Amino acid sequence: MVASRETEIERNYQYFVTHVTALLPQHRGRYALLRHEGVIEIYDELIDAFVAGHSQFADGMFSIQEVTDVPLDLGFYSHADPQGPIC
Amino acid sequence: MPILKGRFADGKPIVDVGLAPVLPSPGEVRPFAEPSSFQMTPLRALLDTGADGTSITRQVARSHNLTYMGLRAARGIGGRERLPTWMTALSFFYPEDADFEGDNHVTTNVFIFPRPLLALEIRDFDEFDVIIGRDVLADYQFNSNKGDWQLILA
Repeated sequence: MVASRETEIERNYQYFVTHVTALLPQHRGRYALLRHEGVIEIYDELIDAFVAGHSQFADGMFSIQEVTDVPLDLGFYSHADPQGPIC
Repeated sequence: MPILKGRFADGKPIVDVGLAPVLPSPGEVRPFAEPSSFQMTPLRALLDTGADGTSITRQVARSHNLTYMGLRAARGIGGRERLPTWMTALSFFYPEDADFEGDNHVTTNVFIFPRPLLALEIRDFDEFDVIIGRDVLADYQFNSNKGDWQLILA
């Protein structure tokens, strides 16, 4: 059975979060190209990871994760209620 | 020099932007690169110096042919959550004075942010479609002065 792209991304993410600690000392802030629950390569620039993924994997089954263990602070969105008035 | 400006008294600092996929979908080999294009219907973007990264609403993420790229932990509504990330290119629409044979008028120009972004997907808002965070704003000057704000894209 062929996994969907959503499943591929989900599995890659689970792999990434369990291995990110080992990647951080050398690669913090860089971009990891992942496929089939493994890191293929790590790039300095997002665009390089994207181009490499597209050129190597025509089936589109890859994902990209920034090497970081810090959750993004979403600023305004963190305390906004999209259903209610914005004040 | 591209400058976007407004007054806080008129509301939040919201500007017009465009989004596009960074690269065309891989397909047949062509002798020239197929350019990625920005939809000319502007989206409303909140300038948020308190946000680490740029985010886009769910509706925009799905309507602009962007590529779903991964997941990212973030501190959002209700605390820590895991959000989809979308590969996107960003452009700003800005007004510029034009003078053609004495006919002074204002035209709309496009300033393209030079790097692609991994934008986080957030819930839909009525007031804006995009939140531009410090991953973009840190490259430029964002000033507030006695009730006015301006973003200098240079």
